This record gives sequence, structure tokens and C-alpha cells, in this order.
Amino acid sequence: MTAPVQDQMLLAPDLLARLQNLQLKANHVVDGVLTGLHKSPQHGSSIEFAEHKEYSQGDDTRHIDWKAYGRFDRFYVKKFEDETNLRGYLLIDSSGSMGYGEGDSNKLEYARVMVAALAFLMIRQQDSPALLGFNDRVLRYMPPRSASSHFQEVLHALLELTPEGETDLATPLRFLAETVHGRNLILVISDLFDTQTDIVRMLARLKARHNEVVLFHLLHPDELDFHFEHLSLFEDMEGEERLLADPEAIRKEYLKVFLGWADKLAGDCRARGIEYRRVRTDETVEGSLLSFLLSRGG
Amino acid sequence: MQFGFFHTALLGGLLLASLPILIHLINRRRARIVPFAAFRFVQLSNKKLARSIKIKQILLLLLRILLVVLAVLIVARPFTTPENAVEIAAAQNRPASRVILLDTSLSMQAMRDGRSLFELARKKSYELLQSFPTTDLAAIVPFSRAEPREPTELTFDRAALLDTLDKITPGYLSTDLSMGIERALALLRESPQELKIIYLVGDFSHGYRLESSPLPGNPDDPLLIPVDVREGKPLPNLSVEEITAEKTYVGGRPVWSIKATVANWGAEALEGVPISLVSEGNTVAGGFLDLSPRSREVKEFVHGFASAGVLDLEVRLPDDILEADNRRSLVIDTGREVRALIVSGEPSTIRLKDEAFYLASALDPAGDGRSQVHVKQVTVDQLPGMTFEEFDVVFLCHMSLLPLDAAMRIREFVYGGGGLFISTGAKLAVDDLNEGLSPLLPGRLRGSKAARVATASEESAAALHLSQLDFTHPVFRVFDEETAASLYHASFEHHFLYDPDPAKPKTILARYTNHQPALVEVAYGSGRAILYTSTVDRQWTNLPIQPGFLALMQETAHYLSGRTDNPIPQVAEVGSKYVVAAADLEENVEVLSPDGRKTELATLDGELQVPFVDRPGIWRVKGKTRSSIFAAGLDPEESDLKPMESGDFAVISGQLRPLGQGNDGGLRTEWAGTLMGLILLAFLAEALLLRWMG
Repeated sequence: MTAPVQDQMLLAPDLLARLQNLQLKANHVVDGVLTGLHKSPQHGSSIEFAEHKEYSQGDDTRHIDWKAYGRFDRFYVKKFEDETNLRGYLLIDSSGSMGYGEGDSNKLEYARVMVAALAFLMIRQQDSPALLGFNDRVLRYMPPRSASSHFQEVLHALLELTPEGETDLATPLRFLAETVHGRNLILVISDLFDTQTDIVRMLARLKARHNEVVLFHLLHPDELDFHFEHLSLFEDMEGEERLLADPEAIRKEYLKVFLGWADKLAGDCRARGIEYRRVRTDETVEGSLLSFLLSRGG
Repeated sequence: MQFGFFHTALLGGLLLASLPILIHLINRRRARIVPFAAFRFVQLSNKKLARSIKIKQILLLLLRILLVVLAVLIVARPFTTPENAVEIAAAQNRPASRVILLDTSLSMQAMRDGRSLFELARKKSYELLQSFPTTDLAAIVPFSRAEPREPTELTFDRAALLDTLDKITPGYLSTDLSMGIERALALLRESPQELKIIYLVGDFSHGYRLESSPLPGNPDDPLLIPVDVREGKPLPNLSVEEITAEKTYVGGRPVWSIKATVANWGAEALEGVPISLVSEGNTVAGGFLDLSPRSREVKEFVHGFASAGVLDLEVRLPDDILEADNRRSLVIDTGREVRALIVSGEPSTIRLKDEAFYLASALDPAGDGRSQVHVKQVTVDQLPGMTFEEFDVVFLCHMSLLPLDAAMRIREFVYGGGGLFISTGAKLAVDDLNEGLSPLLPGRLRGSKAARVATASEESAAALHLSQLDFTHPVFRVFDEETAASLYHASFEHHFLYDPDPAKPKTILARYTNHQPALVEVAYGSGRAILYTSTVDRQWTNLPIQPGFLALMQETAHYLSGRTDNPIPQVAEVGSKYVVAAADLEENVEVLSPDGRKTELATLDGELQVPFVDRPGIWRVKGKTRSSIFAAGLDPEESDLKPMESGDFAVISGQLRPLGQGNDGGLRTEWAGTLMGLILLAFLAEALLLRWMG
């Protein structure tokens, strides 16, 4: 898939290059994912789902399902399949801490590719991806659409995101709660370095409203392994603070605290029926997505 | 227990102990900056561990510093020596010879906490003697500069040593550590015992500051143990360092300028310190001094002494911790009373016109008889029948025709030791003069010489003046170039020309600016005469109205009377000998020291001497016919009671000597082995700590 000619004319050369690069990466990921899925013994789409609604005044009588009336002796209205297409809300964290990591292991870069691939997959399946970029506020919101041009817009929006500000999931989740209706797939991609918000509780609320919530906990290997060696002056990427510490001396304690926090988060999510997926940025994006999709039954 | 090092210079390596700290600081500066997303967790972990990590890091740093320090100490080779006899006895059972060198110098008289340093030293020496094993030989050697050597020997007899100790008293001499050590070494050299120890008991002030160890540096040098009785405490002290006297004239009156140099050896400034001048037991002047820390000030007293003769003076400060140096004595000779006879050749009932008016006024300025020169004025007519023996000096003024009998008697008087002053006059014929005074004149006069007549434009430029004054001569001694200005200023219109008699030895004391003699001295037998070739009134010169005329005539009277033969104050330094002047060389001379004690005189090399001046103050030498006095002063440096620095102690005790060069008798304990063990322990602790820190 290539960007429209009109868009290309408006884009700066470096942005255009990045856009194409992101698109290529997304294509590559999707190809990999699809190949993986074909090889898998599980087939079919779980997101194609027909829905009935009890008749109420004002509903189009043409859409009454007579078969259902015959069976249940009550009127049900049959909804069209295109109306039941999946709306996937892709929440991408663009706070300062997401800027950690070099090259492909950069967390924001990794999240961009992941979101782009997911958006592409959704559009390909006639689903409607929505994009919500955030840090401590909503930076960018693109409502769900299934048009193929929507993918290009998503890519643009993704590239506009820069890692800055503090992480605060309360704002985007509240925004989402007030915006979305019906059943939706909500995918949150973040490192979750939010000290203030009870993330799990807020996600659980969305879950309670019949949304399917998946939390991609995106972490860099440095954060998970903490393999620094020499005396270092650590700088907070979301604040002004600095701290001189000997990594070798504190590694054990760090891992204990950090993994304790991450594992607790995972446990809480699972307890509330929220799918928690820990993603290391040194893994391939397609590998992470494939694992996710396979776990959902292809 | 005393510490020392064989290679003290290598202790400079202790600076290396700063290396671990420097490395630590450099590492901190070189810390990599890491922007980190999970900063909160680093902060949390570090906070939890910060205290224990810090403690471990400090421990590690201290361990590494300790390692460096230990390594340097090992290289410097530390050792200890026992400090006192008890320790030594405990450390070594071998018999020893021990000498207590007891400081008896002046500074040991200083008081500390109500007791003199010497009392403290004696107590310490007593304790040392008591602690010596009875099998050890011991001796007590008092020391100070020029201390008369009393026989002493190493003995086992403690009672005798204690008796000796009781008899030793502090003196007024300065410290001479080298001499004391020499005496101790001489004693120990004869000792058969291998272990030899010198206990140096003293105040460790000025006299102990040596550039090198007093020990000769031989392999058999004894162990030197300093015992500081002042314990390094400062002892602020004031002293009169020097006193000088100089005769001068103020307002035509002879006075003395007494200058005392006062030193403040303390570390604090002093204000309003009272100081007084005492003469013959009476306070005659006083004042106050402000003294900066460790400084000197000069106080000048200007005083005219009413009595004539040899006087003893003393400058006094208030008593302090060392009283002996708060006063210093001096002897001055103000000259004896002189009886002068003035024979006026041109008398007048109007005093101002009398030839001798200015001379008489100069010799007795107040005219009340209180001057040291008692004047009797007569005319030529009164000379027959006069006896001159009742006078010391005769002034012949404007005299030409002198009765032969009188002239001969005057000649006899001068040959017998009297003084004669001859001045000329404007109305004298040169032949009359030569004839009339021929027995007395040192040569012949040949007419008068007038100064060149001034032209209208020159006016006074033609006048003659005095020149080439012999300031080494007693009559000019009170003058210097400045005060002699009034003499140089005097102008002369006429003077007699003088032809010297080659047979008579003479001295030209002053000339005119035309190089002709103005004052000529000649000796006659035991006496002396001075010829003045101009006038003592204003006929030929204005000299008599110059301020210097008074001093010149008074000094001349004293000189001719023979009373100023030995005017220099007699001073001796405590600890030295004093040679009694040859004039005093006679039998049955007795000397009284300042404390009234009779002292024996010794005859050495034909000189009568006080062989050892042992205390400060006025010493009186009394002979059958004549007496004299002299003042003895202390060594000013001995008043410096500033305590020694630790480095000075090291020099004295010879701790800088390399190993093996001293006879330590096996008393020194080396600590290198112990330190090596400590290093190993430190390494082990470091390894454990690193492991603990992960």
C-alpha cells in the first residue's frame, strides 16, 4: 500500500520517507502475521458476529427476523453484518518515557509499528481502527473508520507523535469511556510508568461495559534486565530529577522492585479479566502480534 | 612510650593516602549520564539501599586509605622506645648506666604553677632516681654554660645521689646542651655496662634548639630521653635585654641618656608595662611601655645626676615568671668633682668685661656651686703664697708676666698630676708671653695672626673657624658632627701662631681653618697641659657665646683634672671572667658579689681577675686605696622561653639517625611486621566487603 499522490505532494521528504518506512514495516509485520496464521491449525474469524435486538417502536419492520419470531414468539430485529464490524481502539502512549531505547528497540518506534500493523490488519478485515495518542492528555484522536484511506491518516498521526510529557492513563481512559459505545476492542500500548492512576481499575470499568481490553505492557530490555555496569547519573525522562547510583550495587533491589510491580500489574489485570501482554522491545513486532493473535484463536 | 621512624622523610608518602579519595572523586565526575524511563524504580531501589551502600563505600574507601597509610608506614620503618625508666626496666632486664642531665640554667628559675621549673626538674629527677634498678649505675650532671665542673661519677649509691640532687641549685647562666652531653658521654664512656641512657631533664626552651643532635652519632651513642618539665607549655616572659648610657648636654647642663631595650618573649601584646630607672637604690625616673608579641622596644631616660663619681644604675620591670631578667644594671662614671683655679690676667670689676667671665660661667653655669666643677677665681696678684695642691686644674687666662716662683710652682703642680689650661689674650706681647710662661708652654708662640681683612662685599667671609677636631679625644667625646656645629660655627679674628717644641711630645686637638693649631696638648710628668691660641673672652672670637663652649670647657676641666681616665662603664657577662683594671692591681683586694658574698680573686697572666662572674648585678672591687665597681648582665637569649617544636625534640634525641647507628640496647621495638599483618587483614577485609557489596 502506498500513500496517495496528493498526500505525497504535501509531505516533507523526510516525513514521507518515515511514512513509507513505517508502512513497509507494517506491511512486513502483517505479511509475517498472516503467514503465521495460515500455518496455524486454527481458522476463521472470531470477529464476524451477528447480533439480534428486541424490536422496539421505530425500528424498521423490514428487518424483523421472522425465524426468531417463530422460535421465540417475540420480535427481534436482525442487524446488518457491516454494522457489527469490530471497532478497535488503539491507545498509544507517547510520554517521555516511551522515548527510551535506540533504533528499533525504541519503545515509541516499536509501538508505532505495532499500532500501524494492527490498524492495517483491521482495515484489511473491514474492521474500524481508531487511534488515540496520549501522554498526560489526549494528544491525537482519530475515530474508528474502515476506509482504506484511514490507514494513511493513522500512519500520519503516528508519525506526529513525539515522546514528551508524563504518563497519565487516567485522561485517555476517561476520554475513551465517554466516547465509545457498544462492544469494542481496546488495545492499550504503554510502558505504564504512571504513578498516579489506578490503571487496572479504570481498564476494568471499560471491560465491564462489554469492551474487550488488551494491555500491551511495552518494556525495553534495559528496564527488565538493568544491565548497566558503571557508576551512572540516571536522569528522569519525565522530569528534572537526577540520581547518581551504582547499578551493580542496586541491580538486585531494582529487579526485585521493578518485576514485583510489573508482575502485580499483570496479576491484577488477569484477575479483572483484562488481557495483559508484556512485550519486550528486543522481540520482533510480528512475533509479539502473532503471539497475541494466536492466543485469540487466529 | 615514644614513637619514631628510621626514615622520617619517607613519611611524605602519606600524601598518597589521598589517592583513593581522588580516584573516588574522579569516578564520580566521570559517571555516565543515563536518561532512564524507569527512573522511579532506580530511585526507589537506591533509596532503600542508599544507607547501607554509603556505609559500605565509606568502609571501602577507609580500608583503601588504610592500606596506603600502612604501606607508607612500613617503608618508613616505625619504632617505639620506652619513655621512662620503669618502661625501660620492664623492656630490658640488662644492667644499665643512667645519667640524669639536669638543666641549671637561668630559664629554670621561671615559675610554673607556683613552682620553679628547677623544682619540678628536681622532683622529676628524684622520681627517676627512685625508679632506677639498684643494680644500675647512675649519676647526676648539672649543666649550663661555663658551669664550673664538679667531680661526679657513676655510682650505685642512691643516697649520695639524692644528697647531690638536694645541693644543686639553678644559676644565672645560659644553657649549653652540648657541654652537658659531652660530660654525660665522658661518664658513660667509662661505664662497663652496655645499655647507656641519658635523661635530659630541662625546660627545652631557647638553648635546646639545635641544628643537629648533640650526640656525636657514634654506634655506641647512648639513648637520649628528653624529660620536658614545662610539658611544652608557653611561659610568657619580659626581660631587660640591654642598657646603655651616654653623656650629653641639654640646655648647657650635663645629663645622661640611659637607653634600655626591653623584650617581650610572650605571644601576647602588653600595654602600659611600668619601667623605672634606679640609681644608688633610689628610683630617679619611670615610664610605661607598650610591647607587641615577641618584640623589642627601647625606653630612653634622660637624667642629670646630682652626685659625681661612679654610679650604679638599674632598669627595672615588674616581676613576672622569671624575675632575674626583669632588672639589668649598669655602671656609669659621671666624673668626680673638679676643683678649678682661674687666674685672670685681665680682671675687671665689671664681670662681663673680666677676661675669665665666660670661662667661669661655663665651668659653673648656675654659679651656685652645684656644678661638678668648683671654681675659684683669682688675679695674678693673689698668686704668691698660694698652694696649688688644693686644686685639680689651673686655668691661666690672658697671662703674660707670671711671677717666676708662681710659674715654677704651677709647673711642679702639673708634673705632679695636675692640669693646666693656658689661653692667650689680645693685649699680650708675644715675647712677654714666651718669657713669662716659658716653663709651662709646650712650644713657642710667634706673634698673632689676624684673619684676612674682609672686603666690603665679603663682610664676614674672612673670619677663621675651627676645623679638624679630634673627636676621639676625651675633651670632644661628648660631641658628634651635629652637636659640634656650634664649635664649627664660632669665628676667630685673631690667634697666636704656635711653633712646637720638638722635645715635647704633643697632640693637636683642633686647628683653625688656616691649618694653624688652636688646641695643643702636651704631657708634663703625671699631668698634662692644653694651650689655647685664642682668647676665652670675646676680644678675638665669639666662641665663648657658642653653646658648645660650655661642654668643651667642662670636659676640658674634667680631662685635665685626670678624672676621666676610665669613663667607660664596666660591664661583664654572667658566666665569664672579669679582669680588674690594672690600676686596681694591688694586694688585699676583695670582691663583693651582688648578693654581698666575698669572692676570691685569681691572678692569671699578670692580671687580677674575678674568675667566674656567676650572677647579675653590681660587683664591687675594694682595694686599700682605690675601689671600682662593674655591672654583670645576663645572656639575653636565655630569657626566650618559647617552647620547642616537636621537630626540635627529634633532633635532640637523635631519632633521625638510621637504624643501627645508635646504641638502643635492644630497647627499640620495630613495628613493620605488625603493620604487615595489618595490611593482610585490610586486604582480606576489602575482599570481604567487595563480596558483600556484590
